[in-house]
Amino acid sequence: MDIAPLARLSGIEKRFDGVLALADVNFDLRAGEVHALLGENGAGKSTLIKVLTGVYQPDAGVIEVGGRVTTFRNPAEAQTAGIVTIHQEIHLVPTLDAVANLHLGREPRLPWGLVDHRRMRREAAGMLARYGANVDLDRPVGELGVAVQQQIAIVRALSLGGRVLVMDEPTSALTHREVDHLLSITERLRADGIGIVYITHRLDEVFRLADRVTVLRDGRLVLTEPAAEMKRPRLVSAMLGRPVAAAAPRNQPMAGEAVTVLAARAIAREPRVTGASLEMAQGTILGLAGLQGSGRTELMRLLFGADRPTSGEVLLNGAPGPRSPVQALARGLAYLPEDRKADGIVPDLSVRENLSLILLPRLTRWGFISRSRERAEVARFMTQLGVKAASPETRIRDLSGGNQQKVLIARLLCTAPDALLLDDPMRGIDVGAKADIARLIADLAEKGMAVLLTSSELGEIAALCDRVTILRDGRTLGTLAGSDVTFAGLAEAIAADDPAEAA
Amino acid sequence: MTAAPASSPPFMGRLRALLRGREILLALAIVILLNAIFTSNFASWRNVEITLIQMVFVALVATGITLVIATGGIDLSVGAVMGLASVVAVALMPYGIIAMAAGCLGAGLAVGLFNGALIVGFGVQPLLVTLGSLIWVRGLAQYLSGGRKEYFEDAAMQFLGIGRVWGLPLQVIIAAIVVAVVALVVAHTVFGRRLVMVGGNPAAARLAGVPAGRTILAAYALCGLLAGLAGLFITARVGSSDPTNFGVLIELDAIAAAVVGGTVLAGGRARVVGTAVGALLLQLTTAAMIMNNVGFAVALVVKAALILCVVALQRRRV
Repeated sequence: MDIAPLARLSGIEKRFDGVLALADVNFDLRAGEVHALLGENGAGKSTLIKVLTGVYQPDAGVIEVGGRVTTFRNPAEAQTAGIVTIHQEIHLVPTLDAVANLHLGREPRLPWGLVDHRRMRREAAGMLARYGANVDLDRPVGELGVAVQQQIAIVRALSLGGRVLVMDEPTSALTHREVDHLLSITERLRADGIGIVYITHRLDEVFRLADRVTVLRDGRLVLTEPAAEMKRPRLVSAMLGRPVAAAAPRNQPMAGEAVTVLAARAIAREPRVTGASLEMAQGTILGLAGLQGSGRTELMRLLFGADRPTSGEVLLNGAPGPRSPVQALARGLAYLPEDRKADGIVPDLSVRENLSLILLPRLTRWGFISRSRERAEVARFMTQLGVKAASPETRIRDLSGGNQQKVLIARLLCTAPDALLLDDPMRGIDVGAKADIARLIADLAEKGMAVLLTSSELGEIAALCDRVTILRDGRTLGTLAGSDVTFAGLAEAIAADDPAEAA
Repeated sequence: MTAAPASSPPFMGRLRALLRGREILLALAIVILLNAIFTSNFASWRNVEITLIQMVFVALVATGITLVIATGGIDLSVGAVMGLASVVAVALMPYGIIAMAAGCLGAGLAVGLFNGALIVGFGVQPLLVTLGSLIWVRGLAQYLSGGRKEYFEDAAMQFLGIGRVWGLPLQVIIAAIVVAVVALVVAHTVFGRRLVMVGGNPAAARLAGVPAGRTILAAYALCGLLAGLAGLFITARVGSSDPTNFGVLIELDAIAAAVVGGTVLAGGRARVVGTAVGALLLQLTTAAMIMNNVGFAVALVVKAALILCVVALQRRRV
């Protein structure tokens, strides 16, 4: 007999401008269960959660709460039905204390209409104590730590009648001790019969806490299984995708010792990078494999000089690493950011202006940009990368994701760099553009470029890279090379319990 | 309306394509047309000249503000800078017009650098920094002058104020040159391109090696410099300093001109020529109202309505 679920989503489909974000996804949550929801960025986790909490309305599919079919027109309706989200950035009023936050909007009144402060305080203290939250009641919550604010948010959600709690990467900003405390609070919630949807990138927490695991990838359901029967490598494989039947995998053995271009020795910048070492060599593609949240992006930013490491050293062509993006670019090191929208494109400007951004100072004569040289360079690289746009004057925001990415890669390549840091260049783009970019990366390495590549598809790394450095929780665990660079080998290494196994 | 439907869509389509991003020209055409019909003596050369002379200060200040707005910032201190510049100019009177001009530009530049340094170096919000400068710069001007206007008679200053070259008012010529040069710089130099990049996506600009701090600092410095120039001009034209009244509320007219001209307050776009046209549009509207005896108070309301209409037109196509 199945226990009747608190909430059930069946056959959920959601499109944005015709692009499929969720396709036929089923998900259910039982009372007294922690259900981990996993997947890389763009897998559809947050879309699914937003359907569950009434932020989005599904294009197809059914939402049931307590066995009854319902629709949520907005988050308020979902909240009335007992479904509450604890967001990564916590929604409390920072200038008010915990007591006021817990009662916000429904303060108890004395007979003549004044707020009953004594009762508020008594009730707040009781609620917080029940879940083991240690909170200073007299200080504005903005002055309390993230962990404490989170506890207040949870207690507030429950006091509003929450039966389903969605916890969206609740531990991403917490220290080790705070994580332990949060997990014990979560266990208490489970014992009280609350259903918890737990989104995280940390496998340790999944295995410590979750009763069941659901993995999404590319908007589709990959699996839903009891956590106890789940093996780590299988989970990693499910998240990072199956081995792609890659056209012409590379992995040729290198002829002799290649020249090191960029090296990192035990660099750290807490909390996301705790000790990373790697070596990029001329004419080779080095993969950086790890789950979302393992510190891939943060590590790349350190190598590029966008952030400064607090310890360890970076060497670029034997000299101390760049202290800023300006220096990095001047010394032949270029970086493609992971988040195309936030860190890459300048949306309202044209393809031309976006492409020539870094090259611009080299296109001037007497201080003025030479339009003819700029047009020529832009045309050359648009052709070389196969950018499909109505014209170079098209606004870049009107291009498809794949074409935007090609423009951004062209922005780097037109400066003729020696080393490229590519942070998940094939994420969220169509299959054709993916193949184009993969071929381009292989070509560049062939011509002597040193490339560092991450991907949320392990298969892409396995197919393209000569060597792969494994990254977990901000720490590099070792480097695989040659015949070890396979999908299964990488999944095994990422998932390994003990760092020593991966080395 | 019974216009032939067969021929009108392609024509309208072409017209719309032509006007895309230039809605302001349409508004300008309408205002000029209405004026030509309803305002007597509107279409006279004398009237054109008066209009241009009256908009010199706003045009200069608005040109600077356009640069700042392009970076996603704002500068409220420009009017106060004009007041300070007039005091500095009068103080330097004994040393000749070159010293006076240098003093005005220097004072503007200094305030601009101060604003930029606080915004870039300490990450203070532009609105707060320049609101602060609006207050202290005005205060400094009044302190230095004891709050008094100083009248003067100086041939060179008089020429700069009301003189003519090639039959045109000198100030109009200089302002036109300034607008043209700034427009050229924005469109054709690395600095100009970086300005809009920093405003359009600061994170992307930094990662692409744009020295964002220096670019923003330069925008505020230039804005201050142009406000200093406007201060020199108004002092020359009036023939006195006025620490209390010069440039009061001009920042709002300047911001309105920039926005009407197509520069977006969120940053990422700089339309220098658009700003000048915007200033012209606002000036014409006010002038027309007053010449038709509508009264200044009503003119303000109509001006506001015009601003909102043009901005609404621009918003629709985003």
